[in-house]
Amino acid sequence: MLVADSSSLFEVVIPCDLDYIPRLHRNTAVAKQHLLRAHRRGAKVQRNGDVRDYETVYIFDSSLEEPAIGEKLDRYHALVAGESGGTITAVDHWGKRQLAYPIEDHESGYYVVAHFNTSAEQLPEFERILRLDEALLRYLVVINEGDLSVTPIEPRPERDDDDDSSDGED
Amino acid sequence: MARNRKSCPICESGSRTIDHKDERTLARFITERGKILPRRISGMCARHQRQVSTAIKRARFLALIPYIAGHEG
Repeated sequence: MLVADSSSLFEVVIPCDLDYIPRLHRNTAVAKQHLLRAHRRGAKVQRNGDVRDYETVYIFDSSLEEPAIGEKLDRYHALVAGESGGTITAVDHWGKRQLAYPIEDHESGYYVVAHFNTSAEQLPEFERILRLDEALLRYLVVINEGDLSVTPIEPRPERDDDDDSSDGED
Repeated sequence: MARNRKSCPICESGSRTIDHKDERTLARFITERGKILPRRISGMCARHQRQVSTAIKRARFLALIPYIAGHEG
């Protein structure tokens, strides 16, 4: 069955049977029901406004000076904390470390681990800025698993070692 | 190489989560070439094998442990 919609600006002919539009509606209704049911069961339904704990590991170009890195971190963290609604709970500078393999011809990197909570909708912009920064060799944003936030991030005593322990072991 | 271990080493150690930043612990679960040990050798329960496997992959991405070890030269 063809339905001609002559009321619209462009005359559109929608090829459909009578079920076409109702089925679409049904699908969204079903989706809502699923969400509702999951919510009633007590499942966590992720909404955009939800605040969660995150952990980010940054690897900076090790030729950067510490103040420059601190300034970059402040800039990144302003995107997720402060007026954006989140808080930074911990920032740990591991310092310079040998990379297990070269990244963009760099043999070492400056590692920083940050814990923060923020709403999920801040993350796309946050990650976009991180991707644009050439001095940031790599970053990893993950959800902070409960126990990890309690675990103190202890400084690595042997961080200046050549990391050849992995190929020497049995 | 194969250890006749019946119980999961992570369960025994009592820790509940595996940290992808702790490359010294993760080093116990990779071969000298950097591969992830299979369950029949690591002896881990399914849950912990899964968590360790994810942690190792994250640690590799962060260049804490190599993807392939001992091939240079």
